[in-house]
Amino acid sequence: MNTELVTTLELPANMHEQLQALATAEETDVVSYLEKLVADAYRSERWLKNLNDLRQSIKERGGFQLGDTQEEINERLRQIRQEIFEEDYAHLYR
Amino acid sequence: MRICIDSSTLIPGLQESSPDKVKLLDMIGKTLHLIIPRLIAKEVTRNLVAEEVRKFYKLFQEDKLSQIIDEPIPSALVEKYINLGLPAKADAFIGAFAEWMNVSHLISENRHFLRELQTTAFQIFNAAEFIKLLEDDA
Repeated sequence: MNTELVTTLELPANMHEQLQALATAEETDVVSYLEKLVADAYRSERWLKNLNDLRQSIKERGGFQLGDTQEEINERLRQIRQEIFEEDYAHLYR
Repeated sequence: MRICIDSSTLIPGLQESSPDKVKLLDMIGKTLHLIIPRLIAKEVTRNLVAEEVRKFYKLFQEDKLSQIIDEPIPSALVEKYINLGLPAKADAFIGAFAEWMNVSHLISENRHFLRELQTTAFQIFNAAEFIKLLEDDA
């Protein structure tokens, strides 16, 4: 627990009980459990932000250009997979 | 839940050409942990420009959310997946990776995985089926 924290948080009793139960199940205290929840939420937000940033770049460029249908994409990816496998991995599995 | 997503699902999810695949990628970090072999990462990055490659690898900077694995898969496991219905070694490599990394699900749009692979080590779904499974379980 971070002992520098000074803010007091009021919670409905049932929510506190639920948090306590969850924290106990994870063998930690309520504050540490809340810290984990907040860290998880920030991590998830960062993932979405980074993902959407990449998507925006790909969209601005006009997509991957691998085909118009899933079948066309699959076929092109099979060729690419085979090329990369032959270049980097095939020697390991002869 | 630890899952592996094939490039046939990852790429439509990144270029937002399919709602189910978009939704699947959006869910990483909430209840799903993504783990892929370097081979799949290369399949994606081979079709990206330099700045996009940097952004792609940025997605894998937190191990708790997502990982790219470099270690070579044991050859005996690759052979096993050739015999389980994936005659192309490159596909067998992906199947072997999924078992080796102990994933619960391999998500792919590739019919060779969806129709021909017979394994009890993990489940194989396309993105739409997997999303439905998660929603039914919720």
